[in-house]
Amino acid sequence: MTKIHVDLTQCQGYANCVVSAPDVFDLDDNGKVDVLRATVDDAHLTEVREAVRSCPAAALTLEETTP
Amino acid sequence: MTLHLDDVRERYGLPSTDQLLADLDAGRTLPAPFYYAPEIHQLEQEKIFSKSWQYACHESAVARPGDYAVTRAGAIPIIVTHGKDGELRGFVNICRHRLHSIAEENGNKPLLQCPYHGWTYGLDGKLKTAPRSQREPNFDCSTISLEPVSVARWDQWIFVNPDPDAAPLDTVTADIRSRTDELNADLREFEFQVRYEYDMDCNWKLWAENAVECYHCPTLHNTSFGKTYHTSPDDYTIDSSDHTIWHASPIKWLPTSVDPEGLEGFRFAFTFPSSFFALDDYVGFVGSIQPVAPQKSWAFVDMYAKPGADPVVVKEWLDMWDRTLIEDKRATDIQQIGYNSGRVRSGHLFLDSESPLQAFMRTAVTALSS
Repeated sequence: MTKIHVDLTQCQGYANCVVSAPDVFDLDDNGKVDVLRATVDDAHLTEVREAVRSCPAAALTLEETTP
Repeated sequence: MTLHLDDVRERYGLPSTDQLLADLDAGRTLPAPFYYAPEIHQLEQEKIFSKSWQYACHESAVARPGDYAVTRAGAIPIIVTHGKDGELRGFVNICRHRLHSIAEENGNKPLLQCPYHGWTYGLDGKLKTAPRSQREPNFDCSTISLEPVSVARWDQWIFVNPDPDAAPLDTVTADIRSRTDELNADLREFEFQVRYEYDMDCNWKLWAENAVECYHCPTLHNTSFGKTYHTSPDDYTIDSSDHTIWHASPIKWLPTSVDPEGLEGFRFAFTFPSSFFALDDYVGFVGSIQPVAPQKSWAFVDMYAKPGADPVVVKEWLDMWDRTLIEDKRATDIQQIGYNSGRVRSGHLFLDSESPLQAFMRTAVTALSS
């Protein structure tokens, strides 16, 4: 199981995560990241990893948890 | 400063608009400066391409929510989007930040992010976020949107008009709709094959004018189009009105033993300034010609084939069209040299064989004079 952590103080509204993983991330009304699902299933893992990597503000991290 | 045809008229010694129209009626072509003057090119962008309906893409390019397609209307980059609400919208494909394009290729995304600095717009064109905007006092995303353009469907084809307040597409195509309804219903079944693109060293009007007359077909296209279709005046139908032109002709020759008698033949529709579609019993196409510079233009032609049609004919026809269009390009590039010479001010029109050409030139002059 993989969990997404967001640091909203870091988020600067680049929206790269939304472009990479639109099913998982959106923007809220303030232009900050809105995580649509806190845990990532296998189907979305590749694009979420890309979203984390491509965040210029390093606002996203992943936590691998054992079931 | 807005350019006016009167300013250009003086510089290039052009007659009045009334005189130009009278000369067209008498079978004279437009004077040569219309085909090389930079001021005419600029005027055409303002008076024609900024406010005319032009082919953008096939409906399949924007079939699903999130789909977007990029195109150009003259010099204006355009993006057509399919919103989450199902609406098709069109925008000038230029970021409001530093004027980079929002996208260079078709795609599907929930948001449109400018690849330069990351300003990100919704599919409705509204700016949703701009990186580091929190550090800018008084910056309000909600006041900024992509510039809207008009979008309309012509059967399966998506057309755009850079003018957000454009008169509906139907108003300029009403004269030809009954014919294109049938043409497009047949063409809808066809499958995309290949895009042909041509970079021309000629003014866009030379290529467009070539496309709307077939007086040249028996000679220039003797081994291509002219071999394939009947091109004599009694067989080849031409019809034109202010903004639309229609051609139709029976098939003359097939590379198989099929008798062309029972076939529908060639049908072609053109809408001013630069969009066209056509088909026969085997292949069809849709395309557009766009000005790049006063003496440079670019055309694309998307080729389609009828499912189940004899592959021998389809292959021959796809090749025949490429050869035909290359012959056209060669001719119009060479015409440009003639127009630039300064020694022949205008040409002759054969009003029986070249009446669509006269209609095209009349519409161009009228638009430029407006």
